[in-house]
Amino acid sequence: MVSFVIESILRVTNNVILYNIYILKIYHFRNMDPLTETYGLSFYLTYLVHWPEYFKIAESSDGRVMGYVMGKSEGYNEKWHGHVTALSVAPEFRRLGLAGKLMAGLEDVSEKKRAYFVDLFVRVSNDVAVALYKKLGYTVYRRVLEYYSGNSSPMFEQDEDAFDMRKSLSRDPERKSMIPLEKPVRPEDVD
Amino acid sequence: SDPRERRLKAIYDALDAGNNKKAIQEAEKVLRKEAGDSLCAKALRALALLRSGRLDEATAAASEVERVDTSEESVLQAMTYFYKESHRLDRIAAMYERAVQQQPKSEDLLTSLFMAHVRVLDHKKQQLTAAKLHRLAPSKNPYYFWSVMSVLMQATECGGELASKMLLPLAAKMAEAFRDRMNAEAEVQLYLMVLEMQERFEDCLATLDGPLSSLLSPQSTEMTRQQRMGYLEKLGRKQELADARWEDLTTEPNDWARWQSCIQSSINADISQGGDYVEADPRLSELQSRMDAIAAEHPGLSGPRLARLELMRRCPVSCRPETALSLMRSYFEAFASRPAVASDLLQFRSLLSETDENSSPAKLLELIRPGLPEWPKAAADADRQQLVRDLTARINYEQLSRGLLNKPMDAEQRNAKIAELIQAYRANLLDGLRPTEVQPADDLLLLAVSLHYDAWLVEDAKQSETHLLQALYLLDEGLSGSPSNYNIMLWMIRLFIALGAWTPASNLYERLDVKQILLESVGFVLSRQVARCGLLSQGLVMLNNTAMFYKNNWRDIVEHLCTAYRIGNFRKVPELSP
Repeated sequence: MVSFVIESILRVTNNVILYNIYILKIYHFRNMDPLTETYGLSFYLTYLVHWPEYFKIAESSDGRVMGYVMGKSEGYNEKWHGHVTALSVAPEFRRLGLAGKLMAGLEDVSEKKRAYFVDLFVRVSNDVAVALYKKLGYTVYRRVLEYYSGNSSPMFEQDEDAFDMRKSLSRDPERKSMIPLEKPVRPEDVD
Repeated sequence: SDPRERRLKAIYDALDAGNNKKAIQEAEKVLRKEAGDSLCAKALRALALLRSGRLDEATAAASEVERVDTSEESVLQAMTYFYKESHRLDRIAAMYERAVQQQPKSEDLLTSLFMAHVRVLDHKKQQLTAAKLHRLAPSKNPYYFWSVMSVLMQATECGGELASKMLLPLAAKMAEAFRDRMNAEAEVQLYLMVLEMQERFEDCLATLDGPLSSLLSPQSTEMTRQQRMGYLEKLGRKQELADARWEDLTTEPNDWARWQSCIQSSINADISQGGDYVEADPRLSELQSRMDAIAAEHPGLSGPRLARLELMRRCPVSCRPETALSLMRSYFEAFASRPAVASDLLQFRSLLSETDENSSPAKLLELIRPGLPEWPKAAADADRQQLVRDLTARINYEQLSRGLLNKPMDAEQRNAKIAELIQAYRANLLDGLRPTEVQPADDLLLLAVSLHYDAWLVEDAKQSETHLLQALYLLDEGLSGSPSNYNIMLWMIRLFIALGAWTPASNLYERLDVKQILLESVGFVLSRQVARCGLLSQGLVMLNNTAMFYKNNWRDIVEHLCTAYRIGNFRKVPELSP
């Protein structure tokens, strides 16, 4: 019932390129969940060009977009890791285990790239997401103060802290990358 | 030179901060001190003038810079920004051509020139520039393959005999000459792209199986598997393709695209016997058994079971409506408490019969009805998860019912249904949800709203407003229970516009925070209504905003085209090009 689209096709309208299928799909998806940010076109294109292997979209059998995940890989030596930039599942398709499925796909790609761990940032108030990630094996590595700036959308007017959550992969069997820090950090300290 | 650096830095800082006025002032300070010798300050001043909207002055300032041939990096960079922002990408190339004449051995300048040609899609000049780079640095593979890619893009552009008889063979020869020196996955993919365009699919397969495959990375295995199947399909190797697809399915038995491919392949691969599958066909029953076996192996998965219906859809002569009904019934009964079950089934509604009562949509609903849970009621001690499951099952039933039955309701039936839905909605509102979460019962409200909307569409003008207003009252109630439910907001916009009420529609639109790509996918809900509501100046602001998004798009995309060349993601180049 779920299909992952990984090929991309071109769509041209009036000689102006609007997007390729990934962004087309996000457009169909409408990306209007209040906790999912809509970035500029450039942002999505950067991910598409640099890390297409991490860009996955889940479609229902009747062709609707159910959710998507975007990520990247970065860091050096033991800090070489996968990163979840965006994960979103449409409200009408929740409780299908889709988030877990999309995350598993991202972790699989990260394993193949021999990353040590996967990490992500999540608002401290987003307890639904935090619980989900904990269920998937992520723990809070550190707290980042004022990571999310206020005024980014009508729903969030104040600055907010983030949890940096991590899950070690097979290359880090002792789970060193998951050992939590004692004190919170500031966004500048995040490399 | 230190004070000079400091003064220039002041200009840069001002530009970065968006303070164009200050940038102009700082630039003019530099120009006064150095008697107009600083080309860099001139360029930065032109840029600041452009950003301030002083176009005539900006153009004049830019022409002063253009008069001097230079290869000074800071000037070239500043002017590049200028040309990008004034939508004169062609001038970047001209500028770098002149710079390269001054320093013909500079890899940096030639690379910038290459990128300048990329931005204006001048593939021929790309090829020439890449060739120069290759001559300068023959050990750097990327320059060579930029040449190959440029030839490929020329072939894509012109097509016909020129492509097939000259350009593509050239690109292939170039790639093959470098085969032993290939050291990156991107180069192998580029070679495959050339072969694909030449339709040499046997050679594509040979490449995937040959020594070059060692350059393909582990994270690309899924992509290459898909490519391989694509080649098999082009070569008409139907049985091999079918086998590959069925094998692929076993790793992801819930993947709908894989199911569709498998079913199609099985239908196509039966070339020896030919003909359509009719009901008594042993091949058909074999296929059905195969699918049932997978379903039995994975009882919790909906994909394999829905696939039986998909097979019927693709093989109409195999479809008996009674079987379809039976499959749909057991699908619903198995998965009713999961979301989207109604929409899963509704795509197969044509498999049921309109004439025979026993395999009609009404019959299906009749059979499902008894198995439904009672309308739940949210109570303080209720098991919330069970409540949501029961609610989902009932919602699925209501949605299925609405989608299957074509007959419009009479007013009494409709009012009764609306009352039932609203009562259930109000009885199942949950406490303690965050403002960003939606109430699970919202879909019941939306069904009631749809019924009011149906009524409005058919009834006469006097009755009409009542239904619209009723719908809006309900939606307003819904929105206070679920302030983030964008479906409610979209409905409200639609209905307010139907009433001709622009301001509340516009306020809700603001609340949706429509920006960037959403201007394309959602913006039309309001922008299309502008003329109808007669608010032309407000409409103009909105449409201008949207137009800017489209206008700036090309600029963004073109930069990523450059990135694709730079990091060697050649597959993306034709995808991002018009």
